[in-house]
Amino acid sequence: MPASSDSIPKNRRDEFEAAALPFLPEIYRTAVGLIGNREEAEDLAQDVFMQAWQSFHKFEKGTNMRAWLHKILVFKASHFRRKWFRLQPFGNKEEAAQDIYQDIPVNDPVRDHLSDKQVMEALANVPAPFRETLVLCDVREFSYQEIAGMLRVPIGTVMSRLNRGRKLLRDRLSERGLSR
Amino acid sequence: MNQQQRLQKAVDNEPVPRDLEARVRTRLGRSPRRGTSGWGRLASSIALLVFMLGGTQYYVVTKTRELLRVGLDDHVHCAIEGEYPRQTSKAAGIEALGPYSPMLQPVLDQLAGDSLVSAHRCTVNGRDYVHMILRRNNMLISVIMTRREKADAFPRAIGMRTFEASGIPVHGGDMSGYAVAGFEAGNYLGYVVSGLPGQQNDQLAGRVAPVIRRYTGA
Repeated sequence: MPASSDSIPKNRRDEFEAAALPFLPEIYRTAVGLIGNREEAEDLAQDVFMQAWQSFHKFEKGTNMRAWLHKILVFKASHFRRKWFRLQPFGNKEEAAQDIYQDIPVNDPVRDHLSDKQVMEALANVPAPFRETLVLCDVREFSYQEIAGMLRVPIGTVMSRLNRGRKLLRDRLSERGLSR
Repeated sequence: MNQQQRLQKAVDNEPVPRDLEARVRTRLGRSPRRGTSGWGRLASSIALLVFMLGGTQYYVVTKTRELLRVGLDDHVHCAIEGEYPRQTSKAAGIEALGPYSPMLQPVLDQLAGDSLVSAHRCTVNGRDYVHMILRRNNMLISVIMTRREKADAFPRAIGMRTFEASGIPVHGGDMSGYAVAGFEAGNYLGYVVSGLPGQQNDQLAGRVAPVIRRYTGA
């Protein structure tokens, strides 16, 4: 049951902070992964928590706060990209044609000497739709179904984007001589 | 370490700004939570609307009564407390009214059957008035004019005892046991005040208002 306004205690904000703020570092880091810019990720993370607070009455107690915050983050990030005209056009043709059954193994070895900065740069060079699926799946380990819900796309699209994203990331790392 | 593990490590090693949590807490503190249900919001909106309408109505009633009291004060001072000059003829009234005398007869014509008691100019509470007092049986009726001051304007609103006489809005009310009707006439406020029932007093004001307005050049 959603928390109704009648049952909201006075210390509802304390409750929200206790439930949500522990995820702030994770949300911020995910935001960096999604949009590839630290300053903008700071703004985005703050916006996520403001939105979550405004909508806290809709949050169903006992459900997954972490997934809920990530869902808000993904929504905000997509608006954020549109706002700054940085969303790269991405047609269904590309998704449909590519790689759905061509599984890119996630355990491809990677060179040990590469730095976090180099990996993040490579990630930032993966186009947004693939990057966000990659981050949500391979970094945050949400299920295909959860990601499909967050992105509002079919599961097949999630799988397609994931495979493509992994391949693109591997290519980016290779370009820098970072992948074996 | 495979690609996924390396990616996880890189993202999770991303340093979090130290003051980020403090900034979020500050913004949360400034933002009221919209926790109210749809019905709650509707109730709040209705309450706000009622409050605004109530506030407007309160202003209208208060302002109208304030302006009506301007006429009532003169009626009470002169007619009720008897502070009016005793006159034995209409000519004395015409003389006392001075430049306002041309309107005396037209006003009397509108109140045919009522006898003139006094027509004079007076000052009450620092305000100058033109005052005609008539008698109907044992009851005194005042027809009053006074110059409008800066904020002297009758507010318009639904629900007040207001009607139009020849296009002139007339505002009626009962105050301190008297019926008072007031209207604007150019740079003047006009009044009819009496002990008559409110509706009858309003009717008299409706007849007098166009005459006074004609003479005030409005």
